[in-house]
Amino acid sequence: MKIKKISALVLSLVMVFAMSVTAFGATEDDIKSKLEAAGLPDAYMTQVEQFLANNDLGEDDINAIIEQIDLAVETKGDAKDIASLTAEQKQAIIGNIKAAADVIGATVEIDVEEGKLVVNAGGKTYVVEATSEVVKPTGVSTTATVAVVAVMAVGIFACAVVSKKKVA
Amino acid sequence: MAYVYMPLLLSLIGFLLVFLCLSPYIKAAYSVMSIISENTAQTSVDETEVPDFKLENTSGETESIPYSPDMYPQLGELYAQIHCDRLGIHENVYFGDSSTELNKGVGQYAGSGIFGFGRTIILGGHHATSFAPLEYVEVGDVFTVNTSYATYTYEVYDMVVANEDDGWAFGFDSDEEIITMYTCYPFTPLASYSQRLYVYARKTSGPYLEH
Repeated sequence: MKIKKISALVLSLVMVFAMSVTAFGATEDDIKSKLEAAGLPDAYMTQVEQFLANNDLGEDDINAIIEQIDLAVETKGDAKDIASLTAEQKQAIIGNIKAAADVIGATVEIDVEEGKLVVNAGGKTYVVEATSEVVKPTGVSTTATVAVVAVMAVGIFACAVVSKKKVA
Repeated sequence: MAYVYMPLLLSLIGFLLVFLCLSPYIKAAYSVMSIISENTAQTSVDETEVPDFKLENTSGETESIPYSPDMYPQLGELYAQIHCDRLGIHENVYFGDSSTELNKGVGQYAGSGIFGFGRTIILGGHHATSFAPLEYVEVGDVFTVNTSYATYTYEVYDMVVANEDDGWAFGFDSDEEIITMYTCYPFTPLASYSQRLYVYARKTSGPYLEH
């Protein structure tokens, strides 16, 4: 009876330990939670969700990505948005993003000036743009309009000069 | 000959200038005439390049369907059509919003969610072509979106004029799936287009993509 009780206890401890290991294993939800806790705007979380839905990440990949997120958060410090980051901070965070992308064999193109991040992974493209670049020009270009009017004005002037010479 | 060509050339330039300035009013008059004569709206959908979209709302009754990475389009891909019968909008929707996509139809900001994903979808269209009818949009107007995996309907609930870089106007913080349609404002030519008309419509039918 004693042996049975000890065996049951040992078995229970083994099961608890095994469940703990499973409970401590990172999941894709942990990536989302980390990024939300870091203050990643809703506008960017859409692409994170989309990326995670399109790719199955192993636990090692998830842990490696979370490690880069932690480093990026540490670099970010108290900065509230991208504009508040120093050039060194931006470069360091770009390094973290690229390191995270390397984990899964993705390529990253970052245009800091245009505020655009493009990730290519698994044959699919994910785009994130700065707030000032989300909405595109959807009207007649003012530049084109001015150019057309200018050409017309030059044309009218040329016609007037030619007419004057002909009359003369 | 100068007395022949010069007046002709000057007349042509004058007509072009007048047309440029009056084109919105000419278009409005044409739309009214079309309604009076009961002509059907001209569609911008190029039937030769339309993929196998589900034009019948058979999946509208389904609450959710499993998400597949195949549903996620490539940049520049024609992956949906958007319709609003009352406004006469029948446009192709391209994934991406570069000038290439916007010149062909409605362009979706690639950083927004796809239809059914449960996130905000941002659609842009030129105010002189694809989204010209948005000038007359009203609360309650219904937009139907056909994709290769399902059909969705969205109902307009709000609209606002804001600057092009007013992030609050994009609708990313919505708790439900909405489409944010935008176009340059005002609708008159020869103006400065730093503002946009943003039209918001919430999803009223169509399956959620489980992911």
